Amino acid sequence: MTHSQFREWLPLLAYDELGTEERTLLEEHLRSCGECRTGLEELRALRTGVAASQRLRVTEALLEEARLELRAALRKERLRPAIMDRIDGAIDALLAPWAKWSLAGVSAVALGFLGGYIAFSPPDSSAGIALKAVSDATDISRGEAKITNVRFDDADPSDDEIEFTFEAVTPVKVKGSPNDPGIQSVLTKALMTEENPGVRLRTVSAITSQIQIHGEKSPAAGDEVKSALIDAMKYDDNPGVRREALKALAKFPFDDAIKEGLLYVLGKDTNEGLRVEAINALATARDQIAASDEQVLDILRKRVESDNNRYVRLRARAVLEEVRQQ
Amino acid sequence: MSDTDLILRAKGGDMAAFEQLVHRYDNHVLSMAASYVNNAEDAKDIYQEVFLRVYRGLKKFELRSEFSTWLYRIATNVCLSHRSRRKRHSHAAIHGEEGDDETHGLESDARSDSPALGAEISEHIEEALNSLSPKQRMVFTLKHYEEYKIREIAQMMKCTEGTVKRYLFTATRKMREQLKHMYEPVSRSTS
Repeated sequence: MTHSQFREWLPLLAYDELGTEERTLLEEHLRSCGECRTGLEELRALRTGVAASQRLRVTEALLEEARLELRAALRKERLRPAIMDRIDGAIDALLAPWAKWSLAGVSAVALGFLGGYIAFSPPDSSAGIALKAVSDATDISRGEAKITNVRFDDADPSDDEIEFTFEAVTPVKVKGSPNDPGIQSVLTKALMTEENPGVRLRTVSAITSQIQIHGEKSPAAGDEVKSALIDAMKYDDNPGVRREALKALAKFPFDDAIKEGLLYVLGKDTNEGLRVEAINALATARDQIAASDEQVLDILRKRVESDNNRYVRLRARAVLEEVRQQ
Repeated sequence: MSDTDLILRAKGGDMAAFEQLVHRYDNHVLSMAASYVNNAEDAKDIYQEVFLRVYRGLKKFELRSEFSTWLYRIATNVCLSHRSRRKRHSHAAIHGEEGDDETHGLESDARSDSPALGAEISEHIEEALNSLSPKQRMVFTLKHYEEYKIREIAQMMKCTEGTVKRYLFTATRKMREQLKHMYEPVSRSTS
């Protein structure tokens, strides 16, 4: 063994990562090598110094914050790839009964005679977008479409043609029974995809009023709506939307999916009011919760023991007793 | 429920299973990120990116390796590629944002008797850590703050133990050089 090899072992000795045999060899070398002894001392001093420094560490609050942000990001992630397909599907479903609609969509057109005075964009920006005929674009320009995001793929008019892409968005007016699966489907998608929390809130209200007025749903659409409401109750960034979704779910027959959603809110939502709402919803459905349901009992017990809000602790204790006495 | 069961359920779209899986490991991931970047916002960014990559990659994950190995490998990769953003903020982080971090949920782990002395030492150490390459910094923080074994770090970084030892050797050498002025009195007092 050479001195430089022993020197490379010094950090391993300092971090207790040397095998017994190597350790013995190095310790023997250290007895006769002042430079390595100094090196080891410096390394130990470094460890002490680093240990004494103010390092940031993870707290429960930070972890919870990170989890909330991740939930919101996952929600968007889950919706992203399917949004356009599902909206298209919902619009298709609605098209049959009502004919007088204008459509929203993304179009591409090739037009001649337009100047090359508008800004250029990267050449592959229109990949995957169909080339439309000039007449289609003329139809769009005559209608109420709002033209946005114009991107030029070929702005050179020297060959008498230019090519560009734009988004043409037109309003879609829908009128019909709130029990219609097509209407429910569009509202459900709006709840899941709309960026504006105010619109999501109104969407939940629309769904809720439909349940109040008609009290019956086609099973398939009902499941879709319920699932979207559970998602909104658990993951929506906006506490107002989460609360409305929770209230709307109270109108559905209580089942395991709703129970799990409520337990999720009770266990994880940072909003105290929502935790209370979740306890109240569980209390209302206590006849349908078995006294031996450990999942429910466990979360209620945890709230009783550790919730930072006194009222939540009291409500959880009361409901825990009620469930136990079933 | 085992990791495998949760993974299979999550692959089938069960978000509750995915979340349970996340909660088994996310404290470690966040801690690893916090040690590496020493900044709450960046640590949360890394955390989120790691689990989004896991979510996206889960369908292709074939259970040939341990989930934790795969996850920590993703976490180290995200930390390493996060360097540019950290670098962009490093000046501010060193000179005064650490107090802000506390308001974002991170607590100072001061083991020094004097907070002022601890803060000064921290500044020097952060500067010294910034002088390391991303991989050296990764190895140093995993070893020193997270107390992983060299074998585990090698798995995470998908390299040999010899390579990790080399990174550790170089990192400690650079840190010693950078911090010599700081630890010399400590060295004298401890010898």
